[in-house]
Amino acid sequence: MVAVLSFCTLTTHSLYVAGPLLALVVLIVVLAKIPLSSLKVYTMVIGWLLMVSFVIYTVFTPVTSGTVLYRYGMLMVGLDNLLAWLLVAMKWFAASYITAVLLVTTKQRDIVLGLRAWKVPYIVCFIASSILRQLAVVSVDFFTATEAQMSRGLDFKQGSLFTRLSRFVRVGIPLLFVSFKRMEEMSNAMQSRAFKPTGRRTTYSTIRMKTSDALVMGALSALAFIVVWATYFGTAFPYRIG
Amino acid sequence: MKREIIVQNLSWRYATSQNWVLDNITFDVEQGEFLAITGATGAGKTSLCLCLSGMIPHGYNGVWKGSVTIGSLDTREHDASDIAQRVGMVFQDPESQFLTMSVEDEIAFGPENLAVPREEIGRRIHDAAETVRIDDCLDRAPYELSGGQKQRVAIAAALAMEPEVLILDEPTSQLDPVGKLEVFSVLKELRRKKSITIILVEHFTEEIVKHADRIMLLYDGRIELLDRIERFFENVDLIAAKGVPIPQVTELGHLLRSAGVNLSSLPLTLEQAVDAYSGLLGRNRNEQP
Repeated sequence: MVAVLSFCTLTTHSLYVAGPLLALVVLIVVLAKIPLSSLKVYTMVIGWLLMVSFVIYTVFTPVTSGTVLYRYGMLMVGLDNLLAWLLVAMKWFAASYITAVLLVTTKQRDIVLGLRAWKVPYIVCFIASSILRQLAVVSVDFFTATEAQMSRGLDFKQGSLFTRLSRFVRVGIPLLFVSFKRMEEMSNAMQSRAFKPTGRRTTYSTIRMKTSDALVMGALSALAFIVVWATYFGTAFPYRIG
Repeated sequence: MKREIIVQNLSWRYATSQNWVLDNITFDVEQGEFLAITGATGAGKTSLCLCLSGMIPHGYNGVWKGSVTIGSLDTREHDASDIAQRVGMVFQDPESQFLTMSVEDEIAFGPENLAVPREEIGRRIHDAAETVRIDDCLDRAPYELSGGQKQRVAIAAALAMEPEVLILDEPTSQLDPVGKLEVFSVLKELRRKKSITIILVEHFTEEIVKHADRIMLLYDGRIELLDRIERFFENVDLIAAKGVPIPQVTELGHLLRSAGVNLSSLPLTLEQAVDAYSGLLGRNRNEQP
């Protein structure tokens, strides 16, 4: 579901498609009872990126066609550019929120089992699951390093954006060393548990496909087909509004 | 008794270090024996554990001399993944040794790598979880657990591979007192239920004396002392000089001896101390002062 919806949102060039897709994602988020705190990080990161891209789309992109909404000397803000930015915003939010749904609702084991069911090599699945596992460890180390620097008087809230960002370098250096140590420990832990990237192994947990899974997959395949058709072959969903 | 581990003239130096981290180490461990290794920071304890598990020399660059044999396997000829079938390893930091997101998966990971059949993995998970008393945590994420529970999960994950040797490298160093006692309680249970050979790196000598058969004192990469528990602590001054804590009751006995009090042997545990010092005071053990 996540793969298909991410594919659809990132493929479409139409606000008429991106809008309903975002609404569908929001509906899934609500139905899955995803806690708002889980979406906070995604919203903040995407929000920052969209603020930067808003300036680029509206001020620094030349207006070649369509309505001009605002003019100040050489600078012009065009409706088309604004709509293009809105499309990007919808796509990014939809893709990031549906990823949050995957990470919050699905066990790491089930992700690996799903990938294995699609005949993805075990080593790829293991790396994917290890990244998910290590994200939690790195975030804890990051907060530990930040708190350690704050206890020594480093203030991450005062000063210009550049100053604050440069202060995070002092967190990055210890974080780097801790990460190297963690990598060594993880490698030792893997070896001590007889891990080999290739070769015969068994799987304790298994998942079976149910009728409801098949129905959802069918519906999502139909959705993907409609989006691709509308994007590349159809004319019913124009990019431009108005 | 069969010798499970044979270490002969082992020396190891990391590629980045000038000095030998391990210098001409020779000892052996019998099947079912509990050997504790102690020593100050930098004595070479962790490096010795890595040598015993085959991670040195296969996973590290450096210079190796001598030999380590586990059962019939020479660690130079078999990599750590092969030796893992014989040797289970529990590391210092409970957090960084977990590779999955649930306790059940963590215990299953090793047997899966050994291609153990699914039904057998289920049996081993149940058995290992019961031994370390974490059978009510199987669905939980390891990082949600307390320090003591995390190390018990790590021990269960090693036990599920049904090793002949279990090496624990300072498993209690990052735990609170309750967590430390949880780990030692599990080791006691292990010795009762299984005839597994245990090598424990530990500074907590008060607990070591209750469980171990022999203790090794490592200092600057060399074996300073290796003896049975009772004889080991006859060398109180040497042990203290090498930065290893002495059990308080033993230290008291040593001070009394130095003051001319006649003690046939130094007490190692509280129980022994009560017996020894009650005798000195001319009271029966159960007599109230």
